[in-house]
Amino acid sequence: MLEKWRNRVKIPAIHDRDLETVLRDLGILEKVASGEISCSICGTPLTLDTIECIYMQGTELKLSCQQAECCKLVLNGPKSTKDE
Amino acid sequence: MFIYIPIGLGGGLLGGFLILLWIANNPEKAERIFHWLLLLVSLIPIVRRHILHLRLATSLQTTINLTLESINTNAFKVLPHTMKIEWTKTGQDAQTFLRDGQVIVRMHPSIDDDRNIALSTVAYLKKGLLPQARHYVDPTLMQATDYTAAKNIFKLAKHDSASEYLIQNLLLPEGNNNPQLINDSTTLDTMNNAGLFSPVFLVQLHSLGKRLFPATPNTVVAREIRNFLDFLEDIALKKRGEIVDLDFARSNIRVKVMLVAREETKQRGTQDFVRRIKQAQSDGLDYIYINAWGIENIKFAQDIANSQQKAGRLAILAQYRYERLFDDGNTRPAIFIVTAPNIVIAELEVLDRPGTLYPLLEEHVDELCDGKIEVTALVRKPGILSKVIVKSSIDGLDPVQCFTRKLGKGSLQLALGQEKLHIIPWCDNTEDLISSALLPFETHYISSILLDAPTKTAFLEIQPRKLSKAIGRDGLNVQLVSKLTGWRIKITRADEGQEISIDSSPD
Repeated sequence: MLEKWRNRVKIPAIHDRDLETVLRDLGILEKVASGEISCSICGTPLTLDTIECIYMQGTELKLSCQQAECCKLVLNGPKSTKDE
Repeated sequence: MFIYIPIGLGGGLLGGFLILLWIANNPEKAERIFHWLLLLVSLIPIVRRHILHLRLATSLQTTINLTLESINTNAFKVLPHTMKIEWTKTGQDAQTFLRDGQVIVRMHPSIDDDRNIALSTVAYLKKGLLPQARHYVDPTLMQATDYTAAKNIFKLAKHDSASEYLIQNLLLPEGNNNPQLINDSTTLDTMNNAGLFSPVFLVQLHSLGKRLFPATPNTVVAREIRNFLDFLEDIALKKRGEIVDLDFARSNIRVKVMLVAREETKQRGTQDFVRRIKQAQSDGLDYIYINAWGIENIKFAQDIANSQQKAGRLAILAQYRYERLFDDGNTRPAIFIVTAPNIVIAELEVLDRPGTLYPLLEEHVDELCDGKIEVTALVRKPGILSKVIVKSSIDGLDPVQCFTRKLGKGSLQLALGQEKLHIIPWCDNTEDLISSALLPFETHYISSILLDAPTKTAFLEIQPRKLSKAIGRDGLNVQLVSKLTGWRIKITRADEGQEISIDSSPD
């Protein structure tokens, strides 16, 4: 009876107000604040306001910016990034 | 007074139980109510901060989930599961998702944010739409398919601005780098307007995925799907009087589209349709889609389908009504009748061996003896279980009741002894017939049913509570249903998606 609730497709999301906490826990808040981290797709330096997606490529943590195209490329599978 | 307390408690518990039962069966509607309750509670400043997440999540979920039923009705459950937003609140949450290879998307606080809706829908469709078939479709076409499905979701949810966001910020920018995406998207939109997207394109991909998965994807299948897209585009763009190919017969997709127009009938009569159905049978096609628009044509298409089903030339699998959009911007009511040739339900073999049950039924059920009701099909494992499909020849006469009043402590039950007798009412819809044959009066425990016409296999998802009953001792129940209906039955446990291995071949 409860399988409708259990078998849901889960979409991980982060609320605006939790972003700082999560970045601090991941140990990258200071780097973001000092502008050391760039969008993994277009290379634009990121700020707290412009971070949109967080993902892992291999063992490396990656962030993408708020440009819709960057976010969509990440959602489609982060294959061709700036670093490559 | 002390009497009222237990009564009140009992009533409260019963009410609570009924509410929980309703919630369990209607998650999408329950979520909508929950969303409005949160809106009310959010007016209290102290708790407001803590329920912002929930409000945003339920808003996104209801926007998408409430539309799925409508899409699934038109396309054999191509979106089998609903969406859930999982919030990342700590680094530990984030690491769990990231280790799984998932992408965490930032959501803005506004519940009506088009970007939130567009991105969460795209993320959901990438996991939820055609989960098996998408491996076999070339990536650009699959992406365009996701976008067209997303636009349909936004249209149903009355969120046209999210559709605009998707086009301007996702589709067009990537289309600059990949013009094929724009071409595919335009083709799918044209098909969508003609009503071919959900009931034909998505259904055929769904069926293909069920058959091929988990085989390794290859370019031959991807090319066949692309050719199928071109075939449907030609039909969608067909002008009045123009001749286009209406048969598609390849390795994995074998369909015929039959367009029904009164003018054609007036000139050549219904024999032309019968000839084409016979041709589809001899060509070994798996599906015939009968398409008509306009009230008169719709009725005529239904008459053709019904008469051909009665004649045993095809089986009606589903009927989808929609509004067809024409070049002049006007819409007209239209229908797609999905049928499968070579599947003969109306002429089921009577499998009463050693031929003793039917005379027994005739002896005890007067209406059967008088010809008011008839037994369409029958299977029996003597002494254990029999299943009988019954049909009434008289309007208003319930054929099942004629039998059930003789069961229980009735004369028929005495004659049968310990043998159980399942009476199944005849219906034209194959899905319903198989469902009620498998679990009489308990079909609501069947979470989903998908018919694959080419292999003549029915895939059923059964809720765990009734799984053993559906299968029966040593698989007897499912074997009898298979013999009774002529369909191979494959059962999956609804909560785990694990296929139960049972031989349910009709042979």
